[in-house]
Amino acid sequence: MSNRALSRRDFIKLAGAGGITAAAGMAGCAAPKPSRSGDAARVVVVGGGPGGASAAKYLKLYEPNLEVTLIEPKRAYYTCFGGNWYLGGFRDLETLRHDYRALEYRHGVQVIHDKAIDLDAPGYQVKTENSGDISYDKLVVAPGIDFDYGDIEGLSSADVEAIPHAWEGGKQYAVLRSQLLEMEDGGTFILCAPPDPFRCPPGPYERASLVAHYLKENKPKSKILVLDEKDSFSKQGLFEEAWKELYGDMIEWVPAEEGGSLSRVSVSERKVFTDGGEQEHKGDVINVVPPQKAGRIAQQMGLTDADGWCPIDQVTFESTVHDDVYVIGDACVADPMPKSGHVANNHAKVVAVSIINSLMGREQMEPTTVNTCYSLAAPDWGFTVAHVFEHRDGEIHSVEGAGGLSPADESRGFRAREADFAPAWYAAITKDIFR
Amino acid sequence: MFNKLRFGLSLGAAGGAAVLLAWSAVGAAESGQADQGGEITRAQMIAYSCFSCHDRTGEGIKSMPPISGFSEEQMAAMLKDFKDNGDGVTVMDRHATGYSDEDIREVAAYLANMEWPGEVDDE
Repeated sequence: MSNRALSRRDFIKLAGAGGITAAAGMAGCAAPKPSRSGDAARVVVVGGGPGGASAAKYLKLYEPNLEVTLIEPKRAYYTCFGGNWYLGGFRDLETLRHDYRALEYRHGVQVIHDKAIDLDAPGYQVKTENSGDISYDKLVVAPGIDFDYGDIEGLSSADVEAIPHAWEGGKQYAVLRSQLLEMEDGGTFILCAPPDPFRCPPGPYERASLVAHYLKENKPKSKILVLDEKDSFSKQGLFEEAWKELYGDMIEWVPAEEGGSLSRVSVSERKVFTDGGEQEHKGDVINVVPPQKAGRIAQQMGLTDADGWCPIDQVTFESTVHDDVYVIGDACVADPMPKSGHVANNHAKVVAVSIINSLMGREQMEPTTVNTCYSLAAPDWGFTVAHVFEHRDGEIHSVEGAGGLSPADESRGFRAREADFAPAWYAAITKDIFR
Repeated sequence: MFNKLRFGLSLGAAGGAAVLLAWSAVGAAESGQADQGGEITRAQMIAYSCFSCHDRTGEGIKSMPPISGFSEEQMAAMLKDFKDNGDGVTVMDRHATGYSDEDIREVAAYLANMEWPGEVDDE
Protein backbone atom coordinates (compact mmCIF):
# COMPACT_ATOMS: atom_id res chain seq x y z
CA MET A 1 0.00 0.00 0.00
CA SER A 2 1.31 3.42 -0.82
CA ASN A 3 0.90 6.24 1.64
CA ARG A 4 -1.95 7.48 -0.52
CA ALA A 5 -4.06 4.49 0.32
CA LEU A 6 -5.18 6.10 3.49
CA SER A 7 -6.47 4.49 6.60
CA ARG A 8 -9.79 5.65 7.93
CA ARG A 9 -7.98 7.57 10.67
CA ASP A 10 -5.65 9.36 8.27
CA PHE A 11 -8.58 10.10 6.09
CA ILE A 12 -10.41 11.78 8.92
CA LYS A 13 -7.36 13.93 9.61
CA LEU A 14 -7.36 15.10 6.04
CA ALA A 15 -11.06 15.67 5.96
CA GLY A 16 -11.14 17.76 9.11
CA ALA A 17 -11.39 17.29 12.83
CA GLY A 18 -12.75 13.91 13.72
CA GLY A 19 -14.53 13.52 10.45
CA ILE A 20 -17.31 15.69 11.77
CA THR A 21 -16.54 19.07 10.39
CA ALA A 22 -18.47 21.84 12.01
CA ALA A 23 -20.63 23.79 9.65
CA ALA A 24 -19.47 27.35 9.48
CA GLY A 25 -22.99 28.56 9.30
CA MET A 26 -26.40 28.23 7.87
CA ALA A 27 -27.59 28.82 4.37
CA GLY A 28 -26.22 31.94 2.82
CA CYS A 29 -24.01 32.98 5.70
CA ALA A 30 -21.32 30.30 5.62
CA ALA A 31 -17.80 31.63 5.69
CA PRO A 32 -15.67 30.46 2.78
CA LYS A 33 -13.14 27.89 3.85
CA PRO A 34 -11.73 26.55 0.66
CA SER A 35 -8.67 24.88 2.19
CA ARG A 36 -8.19 21.16 2.06
CA SER A 37 -8.42 20.74 5.81
CA GLY A 38 -11.35 23.10 6.11
CA ASP A 39 -14.90 22.74 5.09
CA ALA A 40 -14.68 21.66 1.51
CA ALA A 41 -17.34 19.21 0.46
CA ARG A 42 -16.04 15.80 -0.43
CA VAL A 43 -17.03 14.01 -3.58
CA VAL A 44 -16.01 10.38 -3.85
CA VAL A 45 -15.82 8.74 -7.26
CA VAL A 46 -15.90 4.96 -7.50
CA GLY A 47 -14.32 3.63 -10.69
CA GLY A 48 -11.48 5.06 -12.76
CA GLY A 49 -12.61 4.35 -16.31
CA PRO A 50 -13.54 7.04 -18.83
CA GLY A 51 -16.59 8.11 -16.80
CA GLY A 52 -15.09 8.10 -13.32
CA ALA A 53 -11.70 9.55 -14.24
CA SER A 54 -13.32 12.35 -16.26
CA ALA A 55 -15.72 13.09 -13.40
CA ALA A 56 -12.89 13.37 -10.87
CA LYS A 57 -10.92 15.66 -13.17
CA TYR A 58 -13.82 17.90 -14.17
CA LEU A 59 -15.11 18.25 -10.62
CA LYS A 60 -11.72 19.75 -9.77
CA LEU A 61 -11.59 21.87 -12.92
CA TYR A 62 -15.04 23.29 -12.33
CA GLU A 63 -14.55 23.72 -8.60
CA PRO A 64 -10.99 23.46 -7.27
CA ASN A 65 -12.25 23.88 -3.70
CA LEU A 66 -13.93 20.51 -3.76
CA GLU A 67 -12.18 17.58 -2.17
CA VAL A 68 -12.32 14.82 -4.75
CA THR A 69 -11.36 11.21 -4.04
CA LEU A 70 -11.15 8.53 -6.71
CA ILE A 71 -11.34 4.89 -5.63
CA GLU A 72 -9.98 2.54 -8.27
CA PRO A 73 -8.21 -0.77 -7.64
CA LYS A 74 -6.04 -0.75 -10.77
CA ARG A 75 -2.88 1.33 -11.17
CA ALA A 76 -3.63 1.87 -14.81
CA TYR A 77 -6.57 1.61 -17.15
CA TYR A 78 -6.48 0.07 -20.61
CA THR A 79 -9.18 1.48 -22.82
CA CYS A 80 -11.50 -0.82 -24.68
CA PHE A 81 -11.70 1.73 -27.46
CA GLY A 82 -8.65 1.33 -29.64
CA GLY A 83 -8.47 -2.32 -28.61
CA ASN A 84 -9.64 -3.50 -32.03
CA TRP A 85 -6.80 -1.55 -33.63
CA TYR A 86 -4.46 -3.68 -31.55
CA LEU A 87 -6.28 -6.85 -32.63
CA GLY A 88 -5.83 -5.66 -36.22
CA GLY A 89 -2.10 -5.51 -35.66
CA PHE A 90 -1.50 -1.77 -36.07
CA ARG A 91 -1.56 -0.41 -32.53
CA ASP A 92 0.52 -1.48 -29.55
CA LEU A 93 -1.56 -2.55 -26.54
CA GLU A 94 0.62 -0.48 -24.21
CA THR A 95 -0.36 2.73 -26.01
CA LEU A 96 -3.89 2.12 -24.75
CA ARG A 97 -2.68 2.26 -21.15
CA HIS A 98 -3.37 5.30 -18.96
CA ASP A 99 -2.41 5.86 -15.34
CA TYR A 100 -3.80 8.23 -12.73
CA ARG A 101 -0.74 10.38 -12.05
CA ALA A 102 -1.98 13.48 -13.82
CA LEU A 103 -5.30 13.28 -12.00
CA GLU A 104 -3.41 13.02 -8.75
CA TYR A 105 -0.49 15.40 -9.20
CA ARG A 106 -1.80 17.85 -11.77
CA HIS A 107 -5.46 18.08 -10.84
CA GLY A 108 -5.33 17.40 -7.12
CA VAL A 109 -7.57 14.35 -7.08
CA GLN A 110 -6.88 12.04 -4.17
CA VAL A 111 -6.45 8.60 -5.71
CA ILE A 112 -6.97 5.55 -3.55
CA HIS A 113 -6.00 2.31 -5.20
CA ASP A 114 -8.45 0.07 -3.47
CA LYS A 115 -11.66 -1.73 -4.17
CA ALA A 116 -15.02 -0.29 -3.14
CA ILE A 117 -17.05 -3.17 -1.77
CA ASP A 118 -20.28 -1.69 -0.46
CA LEU A 119 -22.29 1.40 0.25
CA ASP A 120 -23.79 2.72 3.46
CA ALA A 121 -26.15 5.22 1.87
CA PRO A 122 -27.84 6.47 5.08
CA GLY A 123 -24.39 6.92 6.65
CA TYR A 124 -22.89 8.54 3.53
CA GLN A 125 -19.96 6.11 3.43
CA VAL A 126 -18.34 3.86 0.87
CA LYS A 127 -16.86 0.69 2.27
CA THR A 128 -13.51 -0.38 0.85
CA GLU A 129 -11.54 -3.57 1.04
CA ASN A 130 -8.43 -2.16 2.75
CA SER A 131 -8.95 1.55 3.32
CA GLY A 132 -11.89 1.49 5.68
CA ASP A 133 -15.10 3.46 5.25
CA ILE A 134 -14.79 6.62 3.23
CA SER A 135 -17.24 9.44 3.91
CA TYR A 136 -18.77 11.47 1.13
CA ASP A 137 -21.18 14.28 0.62
CA LYS A 138 -21.76 13.26 -2.96
CA LEU A 139 -20.89 9.93 -4.49
CA VAL A 140 -20.31 9.21 -8.17
CA VAL A 141 -20.43 5.54 -9.15
CA ALA A 142 -18.89 4.72 -12.52
CA PRO A 143 -18.61 0.95 -12.40
CA GLY A 144 -18.61 0.04 -16.09
CA ILE A 145 -20.04 -3.32 -17.01
CA ASP A 146 -20.21 -6.85 -15.78
CA PHE A 147 -20.94 -9.95 -17.85
CA ASP A 148 -23.94 -12.20 -17.58
CA TYR A 149 -23.05 -15.74 -18.61
CA GLY A 150 -26.27 -17.08 -17.14
CA ASP A 151 -28.02 -17.87 -20.43
CA ILE A 152 -25.00 -19.42 -22.17
CA GLU A 153 -24.83 -23.12 -21.40
CA GLY A 154 -21.31 -24.47 -21.02
CA LEU A 155 -19.56 -21.13 -20.65
CA SER A 156 -18.66 -19.13 -17.55
CA SER A 157 -16.28 -16.41 -16.46
CA ALA A 158 -13.82 -19.17 -15.59
CA ASP A 159 -13.33 -19.86 -19.32
CA VAL A 160 -12.04 -16.46 -20.40
CA GLU A 161 -8.51 -17.69 -21.11
CA ALA A 162 -9.85 -20.27 -23.59
CA ILE A 163 -12.82 -18.27 -24.89
CA PRO A 164 -12.00 -14.61 -24.26
CA HIS A 165 -14.61 -11.87 -24.17
CA ALA A 166 -12.01 -9.16 -24.81
CA TRP A 167 -14.62 -6.60 -23.82
CA GLU A 168 -12.58 -5.07 -21.01
CA GLY A 169 -9.31 -3.41 -21.90
CA GLY A 170 -5.85 -4.91 -21.48
CA LYS A 171 -5.18 -8.54 -20.70
CA GLN A 172 -8.24 -10.03 -22.38
CA TYR A 173 -7.21 -8.34 -25.61
CA ALA A 174 -3.75 -9.89 -25.34
CA VAL A 175 -5.36 -13.33 -24.89
CA LEU A 176 -7.45 -12.95 -28.03
CA ARG A 177 -4.60 -11.47 -30.04
CA SER A 178 -2.27 -14.34 -29.18
CA GLN A 179 -4.93 -16.86 -30.23
CA LEU A 180 -5.33 -15.07 -33.56
CA LEU A 181 -1.55 -15.08 -34.04
CA GLU A 182 -1.46 -18.83 -33.41
CA MET A 183 -4.36 -19.64 -35.71
CA GLU A 184 -3.48 -21.50 -38.94
CA ASP A 185 -4.21 -19.99 -42.32
CA GLY A 186 -7.62 -21.31 -43.33
CA GLY A 187 -8.93 -21.24 -39.77
CA THR A 188 -12.24 -19.82 -38.60
CA PHE A 189 -12.61 -16.97 -36.16
CA ILE A 190 -16.04 -16.95 -34.50
CA LEU A 191 -17.28 -13.78 -32.86
CA CYS A 192 -20.53 -14.02 -30.89
CA ALA A 193 -22.07 -10.55 -30.59
CA PRO A 194 -24.22 -9.71 -27.56
CA PRO A 195 -27.84 -8.59 -27.27
CA ASP A 196 -28.69 -4.94 -26.62
CA PRO A 197 -27.86 -3.04 -24.54
CA PHE A 198 -24.10 -3.40 -24.41
CA ARG A 199 -20.89 -1.39 -24.29
CA CYS A 200 -19.77 0.00 -27.66
CA PRO A 201 -22.56 -0.93 -30.10
CA PRO A 202 -20.34 -0.91 -33.25
CA GLY A 203 -17.50 -2.68 -31.42
CA PRO A 204 -18.16 -6.28 -32.52
CA TYR A 205 -18.35 -5.24 -36.17
CA GLU A 206 -15.24 -3.08 -36.01
CA ARG A 207 -13.57 -6.11 -34.46
CA ALA A 208 -14.70 -8.40 -37.29
CA SER A 209 -13.37 -5.82 -39.77
CA LEU A 210 -9.97 -5.38 -38.22
CA VAL A 211 -9.42 -9.07 -37.55
CA ALA A 212 -10.25 -9.46 -41.26
CA HIS A 213 -7.61 -6.83 -42.02
CA TYR A 214 -5.06 -8.86 -40.08
CA LEU A 215 -6.13 -12.17 -41.61
CA LYS A 216 -6.24 -10.82 -45.17
CA GLU A 217 -2.60 -9.77 -44.87
CA ASN A 218 -1.38 -12.81 -42.97
CA LYS A 219 -3.80 -15.75 -43.31
CA PRO A 220 -5.94 -14.98 -46.35
CA LYS A 221 -7.71 -18.36 -46.54
CA SER A 222 -9.31 -17.80 -43.13
CA LYS A 223 -12.95 -17.04 -42.41
CA ILE A 224 -14.78 -14.87 -39.90
CA LEU A 225 -18.19 -15.87 -38.66
CA VAL A 226 -20.17 -13.30 -36.70
CA LEU A 227 -23.04 -14.94 -34.83
CA ASP A 228 -25.41 -12.29 -33.59
CA GLU A 229 -28.12 -11.99 -30.95
CA LYS A 230 -29.61 -9.18 -33.03
CA ASP A 231 -31.11 -8.75 -36.50
CA SER A 232 -29.36 -5.47 -37.22
CA PHE A 233 -26.40 -3.54 -35.84
CA SER A 234 -24.82 -0.13 -35.46
CA LYS A 235 -23.40 1.43 -38.65
CA GLN A 236 -24.50 -1.72 -40.49
CA GLY A 237 -24.63 -0.23 -43.97
CA LEU A 238 -21.22 1.37 -43.61
CA PHE A 239 -19.65 -1.83 -42.31
CA GLU A 240 -21.23 -4.02 -44.98
CA GLU A 241 -20.10 -1.64 -47.72
CA ALA A 242 -16.55 -1.80 -46.37
CA TRP A 243 -16.59 -5.59 -45.88
CA LYS A 244 -17.62 -6.17 -49.48
CA GLU A 245 -15.05 -3.75 -50.83
CA LEU A 246 -12.15 -4.73 -48.59
CA TYR A 247 -12.64 -8.35 -47.61
CA GLY A 248 -14.87 -10.00 -50.23
CA ASP A 249 -16.67 -12.90 -48.59
CA MET A 250 -14.25 -13.35 -45.68
CA ILE A 251 -16.79 -12.08 -43.13
CA GLU A 252 -20.13 -13.84 -42.77
CA TRP A 253 -22.69 -12.24 -40.48
CA VAL A 254 -25.54 -14.41 -39.19
CA PRO A 255 -28.40 -12.45 -37.60
CA ALA A 256 -30.56 -13.95 -34.85
CA GLU A 257 -33.43 -14.53 -37.27
CA GLU A 258 -31.17 -16.75 -39.37
CA GLY A 259 -29.93 -18.78 -36.42
CA GLY A 260 -27.17 -16.55 -35.04
CA SER A 261 -28.36 -16.56 -31.44
CA LEU A 262 -25.99 -18.43 -29.12
CA SER A 263 -27.31 -21.17 -26.85
CA ARG A 264 -24.35 -23.37 -25.89
CA VAL A 265 -20.56 -23.49 -26.00
CA SER A 266 -18.33 -26.54 -25.85
CA VAL A 267 -15.05 -25.10 -24.64
CA SER A 268 -13.14 -28.39 -25.01
CA GLU A 269 -14.32 -29.02 -28.59
CA ARG A 270 -14.10 -25.33 -29.55
CA LYS A 271 -17.66 -25.37 -30.79
CA VAL A 272 -20.58 -23.04 -30.42
CA PHE A 273 -24.21 -24.05 -30.86
CA THR A 274 -26.81 -21.55 -32.03
CA ASP A 275 -30.46 -21.45 -32.98
CA GLY A 276 -31.57 -23.39 -29.92
CA GLY A 277 -28.78 -25.91 -30.45
CA GLU A 278 -29.85 -26.69 -34.04
CA GLN A 279 -26.71 -25.26 -35.63
CA GLU A 280 -23.14 -26.23 -34.74
CA HIS A 281 -20.10 -24.11 -35.58
CA LYS A 282 -16.47 -25.14 -35.14
CA GLY A 283 -14.08 -22.29 -34.45
CA ASP A 284 -10.31 -22.16 -34.27
CA VAL A 285 -10.58 -18.98 -32.26
CA ILE A 286 -13.81 -18.17 -30.47
CA ASN A 287 -14.64 -14.79 -28.97
CA VAL A 288 -17.90 -14.67 -27.03
CA VAL A 289 -18.95 -11.19 -25.98
CA PRO A 290 -21.52 -12.05 -23.30
CA PRO A 291 -24.72 -10.22 -22.40
CA GLN A 292 -24.01 -7.31 -20.09
CA LYS A 293 -25.24 -5.50 -17.02
CA ALA A 294 -23.93 -2.77 -14.71
CA GLY A 295 -20.60 -3.39 -13.00
CA ARG A 296 -20.65 -5.61 -9.93
CA ILE A 297 -20.21 -2.82 -7.38
CA ALA A 298 -23.39 -1.13 -8.64
CA GLN A 299 -25.29 -4.33 -7.99
CA GLN A 300 -23.66 -4.66 -4.57
CA MET A 301 -24.62 -1.07 -3.75
CA GLY A 302 -28.23 -1.79 -4.69
CA LEU A 303 -28.23 0.76 -7.50
CA THR A 304 -29.53 -1.54 -10.23
CA ASP A 305 -33.01 -2.26 -11.53
CA ALA A 306 -34.53 -5.63 -12.50
CA ASP A 307 -32.62 -5.53 -15.82
CA GLY A 308 -29.28 -5.06 -14.08
CA TRP A 309 -28.70 -1.42 -15.03
CA CYS A 310 -28.79 1.73 -12.88
CA PRO A 311 -31.81 4.01 -13.21
CA ILE A 312 -31.07 7.73 -12.87
CA ASP A 313 -32.55 11.16 -13.27
CA GLN A 314 -31.41 11.77 -16.83
CA VAL A 315 -30.76 15.47 -16.26
CA THR A 316 -28.66 15.28 -13.09
CA PHE A 317 -27.52 11.62 -13.21
CA GLU A 318 -28.59 11.18 -9.60
CA SER A 319 -29.62 7.61 -8.82
CA THR A 320 -33.33 7.09 -8.39
CA VAL A 321 -32.46 4.64 -5.61
CA HIS A 322 -30.29 6.75 -3.27
CA ASP A 323 -30.08 10.50 -2.71
CA ASP A 324 -26.68 12.09 -3.35
CA VAL A 325 -25.44 9.05 -5.27
CA TYR A 326 -24.91 9.52 -9.00
CA VAL A 327 -24.30 6.86 -11.63
CA ILE A 328 -22.57 7.61 -14.94
CA GLY A 329 -21.10 5.79 -17.90
CA ASP A 330 -22.05 2.39 -19.31
CA ALA A 331 -23.81 1.31 -16.11
CA CYS A 332 -26.56 3.92 -16.06
CA VAL A 333 -29.81 3.92 -17.98
CA ALA A 334 -29.23 6.84 -20.33
CA ASP A 335 -31.14 5.80 -23.43
CA PRO A 336 -30.97 6.90 -26.19
CA MET A 337 -27.29 7.59 -25.48
CA PRO A 338 -25.12 4.65 -26.53
CA LYS A 339 -22.75 3.07 -24.04
CA SER A 340 -19.52 4.61 -25.33
CA GLY A 341 -16.37 6.14 -23.87
CA HIS A 342 -17.24 9.49 -25.40
CA VAL A 343 -20.67 9.39 -23.79
CA ALA A 344 -19.20 8.42 -20.39
CA ASN A 345 -16.84 11.41 -20.68
CA ASN A 346 -19.87 13.62 -21.41
CA HIS A 347 -21.84 12.16 -18.50
CA ALA A 348 -18.88 13.04 -16.29
CA LYS A 349 -18.89 16.69 -17.28
CA VAL A 350 -22.62 16.92 -16.67
CA VAL A 351 -22.49 15.14 -13.31
CA ALA A 352 -19.71 17.48 -12.19
CA VAL A 353 -21.95 20.46 -12.86
CA SER A 354 -25.06 18.88 -11.37
CA ILE A 355 -23.17 18.00 -8.17
CA ILE A 356 -21.70 21.48 -7.86
CA ASN A 357 -25.08 23.10 -8.51
CA SER A 358 -26.68 20.84 -5.93
CA LEU A 359 -24.01 21.67 -3.33
CA MET A 360 -24.41 25.36 -4.06
CA GLY A 361 -28.20 25.23 -3.87
CA ARG A 362 -28.53 26.36 -7.47
CA GLU A 363 -31.09 25.40 -10.06
CA GLN A 364 -30.06 22.45 -12.22
CA MET A 365 -29.34 23.18 -15.83
CA GLU A 366 -30.74 21.15 -18.70
CA PRO A 367 -27.57 20.41 -20.64
CA THR A 368 -26.83 19.41 -24.20
CA THR A 369 -24.35 16.57 -24.66
CA VAL A 370 -22.71 14.82 -27.58
CA ASN A 371 -21.34 11.53 -28.77
CA THR A 372 -18.80 10.99 -31.51
CA CYS A 373 -17.89 7.42 -32.26
CA TYR A 374 -15.21 6.45 -34.75
CA SER A 375 -15.00 2.96 -36.21
CA LEU A 376 -12.33 1.63 -38.51
CA ALA A 377 -13.02 -1.02 -41.13
CA ALA A 378 -9.32 -0.85 -42.05
CA PRO A 379 -6.49 1.44 -40.95
CA ASP A 380 -7.36 3.80 -43.83
CA TRP A 381 -11.15 3.30 -43.86
CA GLY A 382 -13.08 5.02 -41.10
CA PHE A 383 -16.57 6.30 -40.42
CA THR A 384 -18.50 7.81 -37.57
CA VAL A 385 -21.79 8.17 -35.87
CA ALA A 386 -22.49 11.47 -34.13
CA HIS A 387 -25.26 12.42 -31.74
CA VAL A 388 -26.43 15.55 -29.97
CA PHE A 389 -28.63 15.03 -26.92
CA GLU A 390 -30.84 17.34 -24.90
CA HIS A 391 -31.47 16.47 -21.26
CA ARG A 392 -34.82 17.86 -20.18
CA ASP A 393 -37.82 16.92 -18.06
CA GLY A 394 -35.82 14.11 -16.47
CA GLU A 395 -35.20 12.45 -19.85
CA ILE A 396 -32.67 12.38 -22.66
CA HIS A 397 -33.74 13.21 -26.20
CA SER A 398 -31.78 12.95 -29.46
CA VAL A 399 -31.89 16.33 -31.15
CA GLU A 400 -33.87 15.94 -34.35
CA GLY A 401 -31.99 16.74 -37.51
CA ALA A 402 -28.61 16.54 -35.78
CA GLY A 403 -26.09 13.75 -35.61
CA GLY A 404 -26.26 10.66 -37.78
CA LEU A 405 -23.89 8.47 -39.72
CA SER A 406 -21.11 9.25 -42.15
CA PRO A 407 -22.60 9.43 -45.62
CA ALA A 408 -22.94 6.22 -47.64
CA ASP A 409 -21.14 5.84 -50.98
CA GLU A 410 -18.47 8.36 -50.07
CA SER A 411 -15.02 8.37 -51.68
CA ARG A 412 -12.06 6.39 -50.37
CA GLY A 413 -10.54 9.78 -49.62
CA PHE A 414 -13.40 10.68 -47.30
CA ARG A 415 -13.08 7.32 -45.53
CA ALA A 416 -9.32 7.89 -45.22
CA ARG A 417 -9.87 11.32 -43.68
CA GLU A 418 -12.21 9.89 -41.07
CA ALA A 419 -9.73 7.08 -40.44
CA ASP A 420 -7.03 9.70 -39.86
CA PHE A 421 -9.23 11.46 -37.32
CA ALA A 422 -9.76 8.25 -35.33
CA PRO A 423 -6.34 8.11 -33.61
CA ALA A 424 -6.49 11.90 -33.16
CA TRP A 425 -9.84 11.47 -31.41
CA TYR A 426 -8.24 8.75 -29.28
CA ALA A 427 -5.34 10.99 -28.28
CA ALA A 428 -7.66 13.87 -27.50
CA ILE A 429 -10.27 12.02 -25.51
CA THR A 430 -7.82 10.01 -23.43
CA LYS A 431 -6.04 13.27 -22.61
CA ASP A 432 -9.39 14.79 -21.67
CA ILE A 433 -10.15 11.81 -19.44
CA PHE A 434 -6.84 11.04 -17.79
CA ARG A 435 -4.52 14.05 -18.12
CA MET B 1 -35.27 12.65 5.75
CA PHE B 2 -32.31 14.66 4.66
CA ASN B 3 -32.07 15.31 1.00
CA LYS B 4 -29.72 17.33 -1.17
CA LEU B 5 -27.06 19.61 0.29
CA ARG B 6 -29.12 22.53 -0.86
CA PHE B 7 -28.08 24.82 1.96
CA GLY B 8 -24.46 23.87 2.12
CA LEU B 9 -25.22 21.60 4.96
CA SER B 10 -25.50 17.88 5.32
CA LEU B 11 -27.00 16.35 8.37
CA GLY B 12 -25.32 13.60 10.26
CA ALA B 13 -26.79 10.13 10.25
CA ALA B 14 -26.51 7.27 12.69
CA GLY B 15 -23.63 7.75 15.10
CA GLY B 16 -23.03 11.25 13.84
CA ALA B 17 -20.50 9.91 11.39
CA ALA B 18 -21.58 11.87 8.38
CA VAL B 19 -19.68 14.98 7.61
CA LEU B 20 -21.25 18.33 8.24
CA LEU B 21 -20.19 20.82 5.68
CA ALA B 22 -20.17 24.40 4.83
CA TRP B 23 -20.13 25.84 1.42
CA SER B 24 -20.49 29.26 -0.05
CA ALA B 25 -20.86 31.14 -3.25
CA VAL B 26 -17.87 33.22 -2.20
CA GLY B 27 -15.70 30.12 -2.18
CA ALA B 28 -16.69 29.31 -5.71
CA ALA B 29 -16.10 32.84 -6.87
CA GLU B 30 -12.51 32.49 -5.69
CA SER B 31 -12.08 29.36 -7.73
CA GLY B 32 -10.91 28.85 -11.27
CA GLN B 33 -14.33 29.85 -12.52
CA ALA B 34 -14.14 33.33 -11.11
CA ASP B 35 -14.51 34.77 -14.60
CA GLN B 36 -17.98 33.26 -14.62
CA GLY B 37 -18.83 34.74 -11.25
CA GLY B 38 -19.00 31.20 -9.90
CA GLU B 39 -22.02 30.33 -12.01
CA ILE B 40 -21.60 27.59 -14.57
CA THR B 41 -23.31 28.61 -17.76
CA ARG B 42 -24.83 26.57 -20.55
CA ALA B 43 -22.22 28.01 -22.92
CA GLN B 44 -19.43 26.84 -20.63
CA MET B 45 -20.91 23.33 -20.49
CA ILE B 46 -21.16 23.18 -24.27
CA ALA B 47 -17.60 24.51 -24.61
CA TYR B 48 -16.34 21.88 -22.19
CA SER B 49 -17.90 19.19 -24.35
CA CYS B 50 -15.70 20.42 -27.24
CA PHE B 51 -12.58 19.53 -25.24
CA SER B 52 -13.22 15.79 -25.66
CA CYS B 53 -11.89 16.07 -29.21
CA HIS B 54 -10.23 19.47 -29.45
CA ASP B 55 -8.29 19.47 -26.19
CA ARG B 56 -8.60 21.77 -23.20
CA THR B 57 -5.71 23.87 -24.50
CA GLY B 58 -7.83 24.51 -27.59
CA GLU B 59 -4.84 23.60 -29.73
CA GLY B 60 -6.26 20.37 -31.11
CA ILE B 61 -4.26 17.15 -31.19
CA LYS B 62 -2.86 15.51 -34.33
CA SER B 63 -5.41 16.14 -37.08
CA MET B 64 -8.05 17.47 -34.67
CA PRO B 65 -8.29 21.16 -35.51
CA PRO B 66 -7.76 23.94 -32.94
CA ILE B 67 -10.62 25.85 -31.34
CA SER B 68 -8.56 28.55 -29.61
CA GLY B 69 -7.26 31.69 -31.27
CA PHE B 70 -10.59 32.60 -32.88
CA SER B 71 -12.45 35.79 -32.27
CA GLU B 72 -16.05 35.46 -31.21
CA GLU B 73 -17.20 36.46 -34.70
CA GLN B 74 -14.86 34.04 -36.43
CA MET B 75 -15.90 31.07 -34.28
CA ALA B 76 -19.61 31.88 -34.61
CA ALA B 77 -19.29 32.22 -38.38
CA MET B 78 -17.42 28.94 -38.66
CA LEU B 79 -19.93 27.03 -36.53
CA LYS B 80 -22.79 28.58 -38.48
CA ASP B 81 -21.12 27.47 -41.70
CA PHE B 82 -20.85 23.91 -40.32
CA LYS B 83 -24.53 24.06 -39.44
CA ASP B 84 -25.85 25.53 -42.69
CA ASN B 85 -23.40 24.22 -45.24
CA GLY B 86 -20.91 21.64 -44.01
CA ASP B 87 -19.20 21.20 -47.36
CA GLY B 88 -16.22 18.87 -47.02
CA VAL B 89 -16.69 18.56 -43.26
CA THR B 90 -16.60 15.05 -41.81
CA VAL B 91 -18.32 15.35 -38.41
CA MET B 92 -18.82 18.94 -37.29
CA ASP B 93 -21.79 19.50 -39.59
CA ARG B 94 -23.61 16.70 -37.77
CA HIS B 95 -22.80 18.31 -34.40
CA ALA B 96 -23.49 21.93 -35.35
CA THR B 97 -27.02 21.12 -36.48
CA GLY B 98 -27.79 20.17 -32.87
CA TYR B 99 -27.49 23.74 -31.60
CA SER B 100 -29.60 26.88 -31.91
CA ASP B 101 -28.05 30.00 -33.40
CA GLU B 102 -28.15 31.48 -29.91
CA ASP B 103 -26.19 28.50 -28.51
CA ILE B 104 -23.65 28.99 -31.30
CA ARG B 105 -23.23 32.69 -30.53
CA GLU B 106 -22.86 32.02 -26.82
CA VAL B 107 -20.40 29.16 -27.11
CA ALA B 108 -18.37 31.20 -29.62
CA ALA B 109 -18.26 34.04 -27.10
CA TYR B 110 -17.25 31.69 -24.34
CA LEU B 111 -14.44 30.11 -26.36
CA ALA B 112 -13.19 33.49 -27.62
CA ASN B 113 -13.03 34.93 -24.12
CA MET B 114 -11.93 31.98 -22.02
CA GLU B 115 -8.50 31.76 -20.53
CA TRP B 116 -6.88 28.73 -22.13
CA PRO B 117 -4.71 26.74 -19.75
CA GLY B 118 -1.75 26.85 -22.13
CA GLU B 119 -0.33 23.64 -20.76
CA VAL B 120 2.43 21.87 -22.60
CA ASP B 121 0.92 19.47 -25.08
CA ASP B 122 2.26 16.16 -23.90
CA GLU B 123 1.22 14.19 -26.95
